[in-house]
Amino acid sequence: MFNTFQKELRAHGDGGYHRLAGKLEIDTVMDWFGRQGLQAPSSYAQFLCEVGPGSFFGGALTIYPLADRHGRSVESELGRLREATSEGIFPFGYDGTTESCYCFDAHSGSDAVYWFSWEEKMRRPVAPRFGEWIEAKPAELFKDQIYAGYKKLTNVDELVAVMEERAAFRVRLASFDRQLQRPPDKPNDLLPRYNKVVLEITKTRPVSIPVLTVMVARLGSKYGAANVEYATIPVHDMPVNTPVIRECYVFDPFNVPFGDLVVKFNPVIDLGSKMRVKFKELSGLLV
Amino acid sequence: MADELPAYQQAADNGLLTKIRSSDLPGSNARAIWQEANGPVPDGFDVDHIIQRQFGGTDDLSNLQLKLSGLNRSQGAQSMWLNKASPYGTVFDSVELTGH
Repeated sequence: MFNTFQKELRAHGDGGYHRLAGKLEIDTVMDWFGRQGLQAPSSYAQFLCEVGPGSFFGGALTIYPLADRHGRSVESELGRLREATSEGIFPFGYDGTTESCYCFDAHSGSDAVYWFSWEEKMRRPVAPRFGEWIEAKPAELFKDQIYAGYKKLTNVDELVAVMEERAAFRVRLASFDRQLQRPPDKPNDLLPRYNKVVLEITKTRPVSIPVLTVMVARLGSKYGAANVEYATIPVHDMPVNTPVIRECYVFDPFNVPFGDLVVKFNPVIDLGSKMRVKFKELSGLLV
Repeated sequence: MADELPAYQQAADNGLLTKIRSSDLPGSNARAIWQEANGPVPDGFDVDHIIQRQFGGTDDLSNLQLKLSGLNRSQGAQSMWLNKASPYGTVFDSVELTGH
């Protein structure tokens, strides 16, 4: 029944871009919902049996497992939903944002999909039928540049060559501005979200990579070591053995107070990490 | 919510903080916008609107941030003080953190 979705899983289902939690037996599904006093729409129950719950498209769509001791599930979110609203709905997934969860009517058996906003405590209709809704997701959510962070690499030699060129550079943080601001090329941003960072970069031998990506860590925030961002600086025009000052604006993805800002430059890129796509000097070699 | 307070105040100062009816909002595509512009979302994090959409926040990348997945839903509850008594269309000119 879910041919398009299944085809997408076959095409890109390895390496974590899609994380399948395992198919369920129809008896398990019906028994579980019966015990909760809920009526699962038949197409949704069928999806749980033919595909199963999981995290799809790099987290852009999650279909909850029925119960999970460690993460979100229909059971855990149902508890929160019942605290938040008296609407007769049950949650079955979400889109990787904090805003809301996808829901069904709890008792009619209708497979109309609703969107419940945690912010407003209201639901609104998303699609009249679950089957058509989820079959449209591959076209809507598949992104080549994100999948590039997950797929198996076959050109490791080329990637290593880029890292060897990266090793030709020395990078030093000259200064940074603690005040978040809008970059000159983004004057209309809703909020100021960038720190201005000044780097001193030295190219120690002739190389051909046009850009250099460095990690910027904001230390002392509540997110600890996770609070890193990547900055890519043009280096194509740099002379050899002459330190050059480069300014860049580094996005603050977490938007929380921090103590200090440091630049971490390691020529070696972790090719096993999906964050490898943040290194623009690899971009032509990953997609 | 405390982390977002300066942004809310700035939005209020600029007349951008408006209570909006849910049915008037376009669909959000925040995670896709984040991924398109800023790459993968680190494991364990969700994409969050700094200025909530019900108060005029948009899917502009500058209005998006990463939040720990397990912590996010309390945000809405903590901000409801702003929402309760005011009719739709209200433009807020100041903000205050309560309930702490």
